[in-house]
Formats: sequence, structure tokens, C-alpha cells
Amino acid sequence: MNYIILIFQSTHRTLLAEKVLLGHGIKFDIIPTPKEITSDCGMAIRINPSLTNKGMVISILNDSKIDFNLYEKWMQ
Amino acid sequence: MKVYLDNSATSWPKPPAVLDAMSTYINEYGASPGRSGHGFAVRAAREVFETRELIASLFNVESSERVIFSANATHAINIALKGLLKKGDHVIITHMEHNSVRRPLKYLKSIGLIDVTIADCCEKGYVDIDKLTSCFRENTKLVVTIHGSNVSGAVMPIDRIGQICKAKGVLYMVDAAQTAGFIPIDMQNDSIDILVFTGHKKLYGPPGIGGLCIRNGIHIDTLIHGGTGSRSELDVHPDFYPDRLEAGTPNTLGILGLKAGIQYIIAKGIDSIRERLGQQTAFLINALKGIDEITLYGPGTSENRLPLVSMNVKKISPSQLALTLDSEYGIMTRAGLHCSPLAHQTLSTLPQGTVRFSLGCFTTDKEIDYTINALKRIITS
Repeated sequence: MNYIILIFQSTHRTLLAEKVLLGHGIKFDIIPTPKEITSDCGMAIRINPSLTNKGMVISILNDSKIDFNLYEKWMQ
Repeated sequence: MKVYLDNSATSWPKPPAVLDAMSTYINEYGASPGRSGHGFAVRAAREVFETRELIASLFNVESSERVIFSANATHAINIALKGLLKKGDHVIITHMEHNSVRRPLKYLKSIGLIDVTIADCCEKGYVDIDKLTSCFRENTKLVVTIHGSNVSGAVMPIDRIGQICKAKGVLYMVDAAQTAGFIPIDMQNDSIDILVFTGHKKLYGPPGIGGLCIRNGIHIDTLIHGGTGSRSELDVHPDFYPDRLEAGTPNTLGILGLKAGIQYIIAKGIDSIRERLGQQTAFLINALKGIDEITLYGPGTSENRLPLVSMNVKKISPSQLALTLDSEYGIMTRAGLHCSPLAHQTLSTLPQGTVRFSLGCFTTDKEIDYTINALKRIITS
């Protein structure tokens, strides 16, 4: 499946994003950052696009002023 | 009977939840936070994140990522002073500062980097605001004051000093080693730019953990460069917080103990802890002030003060009194200069210092009574 991968500057910001997204009832996983994407931070947020609307996630993070980079990656 | 009255050095005992949190981490998921994405590392990282959020909420810090962990208050003060001050800067401190502030500034002055002015304080330990205001120069970059004196117990008017610094466009750093967790601190309302705390005193965490909180917009250069778990492919240290000031594996064990300590005081109520300790301190002071042989230092019982009593007994040196209290009565106090010779200059208690009785939230009324009776016996014997 093609997942959405969100990468943040620091572990702190990844967990801040986790807190904010959980507060909005968004479903996601925390995964080790895929090294072919970046080595910015050890952990990343993975979202299943068939369960969660990508636009909604982007808008929640933007509203919370949390900077991120978004990638799409095929994962089993 | 063992009576521990050295809580201003390190509070003891700790709430049971502190040890529980620390042993759970060691036994169940003791991994490095933020260095991997596996379950243990994520759980540890979440705990560290939540502790930063808790501290940010406790002191009203604008951004929780600007809560930086250090080994203790001294370490945090060194990070701030040495990472902030540049050649030609002028710094104002007070005559009640601890060596943790005085010594790094003296060092920076000795290498020709900065100049320092020390503002006078009254005999109780309060800074003279007019004198402090007259110390400002064109090149004044920073004012540093202790919040609560570890020697006299006086509590400085940090909101007033913060306003003065803000009006003059000068940074204000508060050393809250003795007050964090005891007196409410609001970084934004009190106009504090940098707040230094330690975990092992009135936040009831273990020794070895402290930190600093930095207002948005202020940048501090790091003293230590190294691994942060972020931007690992680059050979330069990251410039974002908290990674900027936290190279190397953090003290997760201490951070978790600190979190449990803070949760304990919040659940118990910081105001109710302060009220009870205020009553116990007032009881101790009132019992001692009627004794001719005893000289008490610091503010009176009606003033905003810390739960400590600094005193001397005529014809008995502080070290001898502390030894007698410990060896004959099991009462543990601290004698001497309390790492604050400047403060003793203010109180006129150099070179011998004082004996300090400092209370904690587990101190009982019975222990206070026992201590008063022990002092009376020592004086009459």
C-alpha cells in the first residue's frame, strides 16, 4: 500500500504532532524513519490514506503551526 | 530519631511515585528516547516529551521544545551564561547570588569577555530595586537574580525586576533552584527570558536532573556538540530546540523521576504545600526568636519567604552546632556558607556562615517540636 509518511524536524515535534493528531481522532502509526526518505529524526508518522483524509491531516498540522515534510511510500 | 532538615540542599524523602517511575523505566523499557523508532524508544521519547510539556505548563513557557534538560541548576546556568554572553557584554547580579552564578561570571570576566556589577541587598536579603536600576549601562545584556535565597529565605520581586528589564530591553534570567515547585512562576507574566530550575529540591525529583526554559526568540549557543538523533547525516550540530542544547544520551531516568515529582506536587497542590510549610517555618521561627542566645537571619514570618531558617547560637560555631545536632539528636542540617559567600556578606555572617534548617513537604510538626527542644537543650547544657 502507498502510505503517507510525515517527517518532522525533531523527536519533540514528532510527538507534538502525535499529541495534536490524537486530539483530533486521527489514526496513524509511529514508525522508524525510512532511511531512504531522510535521517532528520528517528521516528516518523505513517498514515493509511484509505483510513484518513490527507488534506485533513495537513490542515490540522498547519493550524497547529507544526512544520513537516510529507512523503508517499509503498510499504507492505 | 532521624530528622532530615536539609531539604534546601536536596529534598528527602521523595514521593514513592518517583522511584516507581524510575524503576519501571529501568525494568520495562529503558531505551534511548528519540534515537530509534522501536517500541521502547518511542515510549521513552513520549515520557520525555510529556515531561517537557508538564514543565512548560508549570512555568508558562511559550514553547515546550524550549524546555532544556541539564544535570542540575549549575549546569543550566553555565549553558545559558556561556552560550549567551559575548565580548563586551555587561551583566548585573545581586548580592545574594549563589556560586553557581557568581563563579561562571567571574570566570568570564577573568578572561576579559564581560563585566559584572553586583547590586546591593538589604540585611534580610532583598535586592534594593533602586540600586539595581542604577547598575544598568549601555552595554548591559543580562540581569541574573536568584528567586529565593538559599541562605536567608528571602524571595526576590521577580515580576518587578522582569518589568524593569523588559522596559530597558535587557534579558532577565531567574535562578529558581530554591523556588521552582514552591512558588508559582509564570515566565510570560513575570517577563522572564531564561528560567533555571533543578529537579532535586522542591520539584521532588532525583539528583542529577535540572534544566532551563528559554523564551522564544532568544538563542543560546551550545557548549556541547554531538549526537542528537536528528540530522545525523550532517557534520554540524542542529540549531533547533531542544536538540540544539541537548547533545548526547539524556538522563531519561532522572527526567522520569522529575516528572513523577512534579505530578506529586501538582496533585498535592503547590499552594497548599507552601501554606503548610509556611506555618511550620513560622512556628519554628517564633519558638526560636524568644531565645536570647539565638540570632535569626532573613525575613520575618509575615513575609513571602522560603521554608528555611538560618541562624546562629552565641559561642557555638555553626559547624559545631550542626555536628551536635546530628550526632546527639539525629537532626541533619547544613552549616557554613551554603555555596553563597556573597549572601553571607549581605547578612554579615562571614566567615563562619550559619546553620540552616530547611523543611520539605514530608517534614512533620513532631520533627519541628523535637528540633526546638534539642536546640533548647544544647543552649542550656
